[in-house]
Amino acid sequence: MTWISLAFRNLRRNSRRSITTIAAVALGYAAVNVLGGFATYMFVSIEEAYIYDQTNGHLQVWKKGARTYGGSDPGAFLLPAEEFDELKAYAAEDSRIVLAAGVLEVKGNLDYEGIPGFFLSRAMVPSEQEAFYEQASALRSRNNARFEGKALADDLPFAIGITEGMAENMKLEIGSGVILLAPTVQGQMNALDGEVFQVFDMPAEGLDGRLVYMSLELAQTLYGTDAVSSVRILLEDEADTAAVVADLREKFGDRDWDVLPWNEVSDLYNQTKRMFDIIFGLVFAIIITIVTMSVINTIGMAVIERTREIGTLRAIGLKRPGVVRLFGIESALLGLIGALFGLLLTVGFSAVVEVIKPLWNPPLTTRAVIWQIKLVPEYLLASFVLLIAFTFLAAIMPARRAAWRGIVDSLGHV
Amino acid sequence: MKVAEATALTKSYHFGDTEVHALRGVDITIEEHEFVAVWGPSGSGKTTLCNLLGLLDDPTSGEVAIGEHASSNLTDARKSELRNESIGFVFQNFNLVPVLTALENVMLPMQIQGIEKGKAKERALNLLEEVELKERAHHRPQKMSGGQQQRVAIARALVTDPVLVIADEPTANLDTTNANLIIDLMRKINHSRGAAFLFSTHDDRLLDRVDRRVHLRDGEILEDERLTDPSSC
Repeated sequence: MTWISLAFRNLRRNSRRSITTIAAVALGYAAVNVLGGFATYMFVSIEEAYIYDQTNGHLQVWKKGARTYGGSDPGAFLLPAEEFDELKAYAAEDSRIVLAAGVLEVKGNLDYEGIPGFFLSRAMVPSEQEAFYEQASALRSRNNARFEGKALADDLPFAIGITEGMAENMKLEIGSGVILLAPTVQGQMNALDGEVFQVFDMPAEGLDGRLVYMSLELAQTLYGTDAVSSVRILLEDEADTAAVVADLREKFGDRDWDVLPWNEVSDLYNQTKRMFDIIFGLVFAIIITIVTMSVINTIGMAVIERTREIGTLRAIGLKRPGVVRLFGIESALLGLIGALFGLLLTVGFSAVVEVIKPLWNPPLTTRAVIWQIKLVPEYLLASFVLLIAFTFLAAIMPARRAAWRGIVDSLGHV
Repeated sequence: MKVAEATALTKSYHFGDTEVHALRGVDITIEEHEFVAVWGPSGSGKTTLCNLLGLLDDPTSGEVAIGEHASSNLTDARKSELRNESIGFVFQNFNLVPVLTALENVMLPMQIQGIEKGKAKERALNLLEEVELKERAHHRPQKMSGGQQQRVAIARALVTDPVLVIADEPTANLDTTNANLIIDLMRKINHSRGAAFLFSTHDDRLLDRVDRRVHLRDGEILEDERLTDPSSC
């Protein structure tokens, strides 16, 4: 017989109370990890949507000041073609970089049968844009379709893609011919013909009625420039982001560039992460408090019921720390068993979610997407260890009270 | 040789403004091999004396020594070690741990000492055989009669080979037959193992079977009467 088996038998004395406490621990563990898994899913989704779906890449290179002042005079903050070429050459030599894609941000009017509409575009070479999309897996709808119609292609410079919102507002259809109007960087108005090749689903509400996909060639012709607004760099592995940023800053330190990792550019990601960190921290604190109170109550009751037994153990030579250890083990066992059941609950729940594929509308999106629980082994392990540690610590106060009580007093307890 | 000694022992309890003197300057020495009964009416101080000699409580004044160890110089941890190694306890209500079997209850003091499990088990089984309960070794207390539980408690008290066994009213919850059996068993073990026994009782019928009887009244020793010389046993 070991102290652990004695503790285990003691837990079975009042099995209903032990089961209730184990259930509280299990539910607490599952709640923390399901919420953590959902938060992780949100982070990953926002990250992937930002990097791949919105073709921002892992890092971006801008002319210094372009992100702050470029709105009023975008022509003054473009990266010239020779600098863009230099970057492309560097990227081709670096095995960590999949591609460096030039983006030209244009805005203007789209005219269809005399009806004008405002548009915004981040024009890219279509095959490069496709390379971004191929990596994307987050915020997928059930049929996984990204657009209706035909894909844009490098050899079809007049082809454009429009959002569902724009198609609805302007009664545009696949195959509709449109006129794109925009001022060139020199300040003259320019107009080009385009054809709607695809209607795509834009998750961001603010862009749903106005975003247009077009080739870089079409945008550069419309703007009368061979420069780009920024270069979006896609990496093989996101973990290399900081290193590539550092290398670029060192290599091109003399240039008037901002080299920015994706997480510094994405306000949404940073705000969402901060929000979830706070929510997660609060929920964790609340759950730990509930679990700890529940364990203190259970052990406190056990101490009262077994006061005479504690007196006997002390009489036959068990030292005070031994009493604390005995109740600590009992409490930690409650934590261990509870956390194990909690782990089963968490894995079971996430498996059910994986099978059912429930839909939801995330904030700022227009379509229903599948929500997931992304379990993180580090979170599972950390919360497992923390819960056991907290349940152990929760026993110390009542156990100390029992251990420091007079032996005769304990033996006479009824 | 002295196994326990109390000198000018007093113990008072406070109940609100009232002070109750449970012991009023008791001097007593327990020699090795002695079989001593402390008797007297309820409230005479029998249990208090047993508790103080067993290092379960601290006196208000006076001194208790177990062997060469004066209790006033001992930390709580050292007292625990002394209780574990040198003193065995038998309680009126048996005080066995209900979730443990008879064997595990007997092994418990050795487990506290950290003695290796195999050795502890062997020793516990020998003692259960000595109290004629080996066949009940794997039964839990609630499956045993009061007499059997008290025999397990006696085995537990003896398992660390103590120099002194203190039994507070060990027969109070037993019928006459079982009470006689328990006293006979304690007497037998006292002879065979040599441990001194000090037990409190208010049952006059048991007093003829001891070496020495100490009569307490109102916290004082009225009479300390030696009936036989323990060294002659």
